[in-house]
Amino acid sequence: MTASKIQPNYDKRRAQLTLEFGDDLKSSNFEMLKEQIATLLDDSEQWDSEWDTLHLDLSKATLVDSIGLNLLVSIIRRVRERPAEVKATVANSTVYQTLLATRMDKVMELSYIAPQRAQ
Amino acid sequence: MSPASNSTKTILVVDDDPLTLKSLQMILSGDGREVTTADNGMIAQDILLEHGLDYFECVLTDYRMPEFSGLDLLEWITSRDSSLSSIILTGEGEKDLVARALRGGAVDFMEKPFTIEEIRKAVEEAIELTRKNRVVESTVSDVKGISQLSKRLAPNRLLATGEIQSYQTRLTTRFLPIKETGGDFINVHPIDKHRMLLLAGDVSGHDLKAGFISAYFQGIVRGMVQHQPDITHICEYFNRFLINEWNLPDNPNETQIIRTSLAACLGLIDFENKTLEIFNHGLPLPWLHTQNGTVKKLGGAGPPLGWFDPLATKTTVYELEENAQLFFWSDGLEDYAEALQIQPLSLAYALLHEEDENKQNEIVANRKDDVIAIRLEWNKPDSTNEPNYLIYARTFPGNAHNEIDKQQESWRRHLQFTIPNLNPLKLDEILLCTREAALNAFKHGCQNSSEYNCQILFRVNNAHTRIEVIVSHDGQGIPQEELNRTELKEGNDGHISFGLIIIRSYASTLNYLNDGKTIKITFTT
Repeated sequence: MTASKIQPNYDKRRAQLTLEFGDDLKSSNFEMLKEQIATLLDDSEQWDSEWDTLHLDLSKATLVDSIGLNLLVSIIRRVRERPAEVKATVANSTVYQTLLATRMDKVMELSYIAPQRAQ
Repeated sequence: MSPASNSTKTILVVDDDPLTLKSLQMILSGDGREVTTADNGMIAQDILLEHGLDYFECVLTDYRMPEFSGLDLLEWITSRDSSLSSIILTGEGEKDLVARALRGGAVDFMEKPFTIEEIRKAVEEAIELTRKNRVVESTVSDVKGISQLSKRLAPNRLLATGEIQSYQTRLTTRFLPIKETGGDFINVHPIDKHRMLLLAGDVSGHDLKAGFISAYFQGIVRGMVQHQPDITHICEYFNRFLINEWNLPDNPNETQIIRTSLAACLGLIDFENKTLEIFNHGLPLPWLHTQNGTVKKLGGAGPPLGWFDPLATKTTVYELEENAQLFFWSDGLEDYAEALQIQPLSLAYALLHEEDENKQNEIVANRKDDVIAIRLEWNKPDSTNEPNYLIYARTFPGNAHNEIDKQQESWRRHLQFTIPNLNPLKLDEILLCTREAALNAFKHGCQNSSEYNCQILFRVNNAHTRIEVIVSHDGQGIPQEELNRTELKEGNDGHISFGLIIIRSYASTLNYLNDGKTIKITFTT
């Protein structure tokens, strides 16, 4: 299995740090993603940059399972301490429905883009 | 119509030149040859139609004739009876041209001029070829006839409703042979108002010999079962016949060889005494699926009949469960399922669900062996629930959570194969819920230990409007309050249990059985 990479992208003008997930968020890659997130957010250059919004770009994810949801929860908890807002973009209908069903839209701003418009 | 007698050789000679026509008639007449003549192609057609093409054994025709050439005549003949040999007489240098124009058919060429001996020899060879062709055609026709006759024994019509008292029975069978005749077969014999025998078999080979042994065995079973439905006894008898009679070497000094063997599976179902007796020698194990969600592979499998005397195994008797389905299939089906990377059960379901014979053949289009699938259902008359059909069943060790992605891909493959019109979004929802139920079973039920097992079933109704996922394990159950919980709750490990929330959001119904060790998720499409 190829490691799914999380790509950071800092936008100083919008004061926003984007984390682009290259794959699903699921039980089988949870530990790997958790380590990557910890490395990224513990990195002083990323953390100390001036941003007040963390954008989770999940547009490439076709599956977010219960373990993947726990990863999102841990990210949100960490970022709220900063403090900063979290928003997420998804492009898969089932992923979107899952985030709504588990009320993740109450703890972050959630956007759904139709698959053909997803980058 | 046939030629006047076996020895009479009937020839049609066609030429627009009266002198040549007369000469050929004189040359070829006699020695048991009967020669009919025509001075153009149209008249030749009329003669052939009047007598029938099979009346003649050779057509000798000139190439150059006005209006309807020898070429036109031979093309007309070939399109109607490719077994009738013809000779076309061409002028010098025309042979290659005519050969290119005539594609196929039993045609010889003779360039003018030719000697009397040459024409006699060519005609004799053409007659021989016609006779050979017709023997082959006749054999093929007989084989097709046998194949059609064997379809009369197809069990669908033998098992009319009402033959078995106290149960509603339904039999569905698929028999997709690779050749017109061979050794695979399916039979169902109602013995009396309470008992029936289900029989599937596969004789080694796909030739007439295999067809003969197959028919012989079926006849013996049919006769014996009416008097003494002891299936072990029947199979022991036939095993001895194969070893001591059929497979004996032609020369007593030669070593005995297994010329023919027979793989057979017999199921004797007794609805009065509620027993199911299985005898299996050489076929894949039969499966039993009950409406309450249990799945069993039945019986032990011994080697095919004709290998060893005495037989190593006896019958296995089970208590007959109510509202159930019994499956038999052939090794040809198992091989094809393996090539498709799906379970034999799933392939059997797809074939049994598809009623169009052409589409059934498309499903197993590249099969290398005969494919047989049988499903016998029985339900109590007071059972009002619509039956569920099993399309996937697999048991995993309790520590298989690390392979969940591979399993999910396999579930996707099986669902797409068995329910081809399933909406992709609905498919994703079913897969996500199955994943959550399986992760829950591995982690909490089986505690990620290989000491326990987790079983996953997919079932569907006949209209494909309802799909059931049943995930069960033999580990620890889940407390009722946990099952009823609708709020998110954080566990001691800091993880929030989202699984049941996700399942509830997509499922039409969700049921817990067996102290929470079984979760049944129903989706409507």
